[in-house]
Amino acid sequence: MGSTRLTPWLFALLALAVLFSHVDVRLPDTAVAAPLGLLALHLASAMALRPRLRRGGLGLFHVCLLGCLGLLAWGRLTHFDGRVELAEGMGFDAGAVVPTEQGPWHRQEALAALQFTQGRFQVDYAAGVKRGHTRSELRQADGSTQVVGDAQALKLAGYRFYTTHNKGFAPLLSWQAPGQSPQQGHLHMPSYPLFDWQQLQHWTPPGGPAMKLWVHPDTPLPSDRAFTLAPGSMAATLVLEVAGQRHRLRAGEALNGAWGHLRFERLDGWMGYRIHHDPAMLPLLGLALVGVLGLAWHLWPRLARSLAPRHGASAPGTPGLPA
Amino acid sequence: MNPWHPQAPQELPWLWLGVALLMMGAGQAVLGLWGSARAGLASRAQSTAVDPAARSGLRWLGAALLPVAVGLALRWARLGHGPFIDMFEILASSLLSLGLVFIIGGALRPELRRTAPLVLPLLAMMGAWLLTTNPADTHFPATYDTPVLWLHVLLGKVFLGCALLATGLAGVLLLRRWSLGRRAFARLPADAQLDRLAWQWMLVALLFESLMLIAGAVWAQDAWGRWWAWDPLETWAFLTWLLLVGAVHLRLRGTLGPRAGAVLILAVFVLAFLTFFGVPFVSVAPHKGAV
Repeated sequence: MGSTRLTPWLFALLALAVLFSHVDVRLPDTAVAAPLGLLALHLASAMALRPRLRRGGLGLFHVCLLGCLGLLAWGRLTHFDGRVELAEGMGFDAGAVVPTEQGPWHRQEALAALQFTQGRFQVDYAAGVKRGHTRSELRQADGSTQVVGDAQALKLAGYRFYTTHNKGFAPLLSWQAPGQSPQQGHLHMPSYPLFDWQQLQHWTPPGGPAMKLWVHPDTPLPSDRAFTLAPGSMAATLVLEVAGQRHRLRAGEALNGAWGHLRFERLDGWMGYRIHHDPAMLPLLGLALVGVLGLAWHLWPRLARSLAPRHGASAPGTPGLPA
Repeated sequence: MNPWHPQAPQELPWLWLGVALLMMGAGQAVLGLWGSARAGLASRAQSTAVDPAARSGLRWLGAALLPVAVGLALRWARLGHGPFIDMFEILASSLLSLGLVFIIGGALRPELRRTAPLVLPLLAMMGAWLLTTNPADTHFPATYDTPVLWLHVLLGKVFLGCALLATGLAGVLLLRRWSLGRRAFARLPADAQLDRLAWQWMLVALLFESLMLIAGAVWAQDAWGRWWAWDPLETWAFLTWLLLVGAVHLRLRGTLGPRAGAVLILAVFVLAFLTFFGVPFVSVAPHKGAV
């Protein structure tokens, strides 16, 4: 460890690990983490053995690189990535979050403590159903509202909530099974306009029969012109198939049967969010920038000399490179 | 009529003119060099003056970049967004940026101008490639509407430009293995000096590639909620960075001769070129699935 002969081999090992992980995504994270760890160890040894690597801009660069590797490891241990769908008017519920990746040191209770409510959202589309800007209104626990979307995330206690392309209709339904108390909730339909052709959802209400539900917006998807999708201000018919019979409901209409009572309150939308939490991210950015600055500091005096106007002189030595 | 665009966009004639001028410049530089090598003119004393073939090629390049810039500006004004989206736009903007970096590099170090017979044909090939790509209008995704994207793209273009300057010098070093190459590039400084100059540009390339990766991570975090996701372009950009730092470390050990160093520089440029223009081949958009 610490020998300059080993450095290119460790780079090659890391490159191979990255390449194989890229080709076969089933490889565990350790496939890349192991050579990174070896490189960190090697760099630390080299810095301990060679004072030149600890001095000036080169030293700053190497210290930052080592710090970045440490922060990467910390980030992997504490990070959280997940997704959640939120219907308009509904509060954030950590129980509905689907984790996609999380480190063993991530504190689930921190996520559960988050509070905000989904307001209305709008998504602009150019002709040809090409997605443009997204504006999603979120109400926080203190009553303030924030519009998020595109490059603007909701930042809450270290967690970031990003709007995604995934969103759709969410009819608000009131349901009462015979002899039971009434309940109300949103039914999340398939993503729209991605699955414009299949706005069908299967649902079995508590204590009720299996149902099929379709949402038919009054305005068909405009594919030849620009439009703004705003589920909360759209009118639609809810088609319901229950006990072998089909029924059509407009907002505010209800259906009664021996199986229970169902009322279509109104049409809302649901927005899919990507959740990201990585406490190492901002320190990593800062350290990476300082590291590159260190490298620039190391190189600049020599490069400036090399690029200065000369008259027939030969090129000076490359910074840090043997002539 | 353009086969992909029934009503050819107004910028196309400008871009075609630019490519035509670029091809003229490449031809001029190569033929001039070939002629001087055959006639043995270049075997004269090593003056710092640029030979007429290279100078003429550079003039053609300057003349070519003007219509390319006009074409890009017209497309920008028509579509309302910069040339960031598809292969046509990326090739056209890279033609401009690489050409500009070569001209600026040549102004800073006159030796670089003499690599025009190697660099200009490469740019001309990119121009020919541009003519075969689909110039259809592109949609600007909302996630691209951020100044960080500008920074990311600019840093990437400077990185590739610096690597191109080093590659031109590396090409000279490799061609000097043969007597014709030695005669053709006899006016350039000795191998050791060219080798040092080439690695200086590789170090500048390393700086800009590092900054490009950082800016890209900031953009990806804002746009898609993840600063790194190993998408094809991210993976290959990182592999390019690894090859570059590996090459620099090999050169630092001092055991690498100018020829071996030139091969490494060429390898880095080829990998960077494939990352810039090859990955979109297989993934359609620069960052597949991330739009």
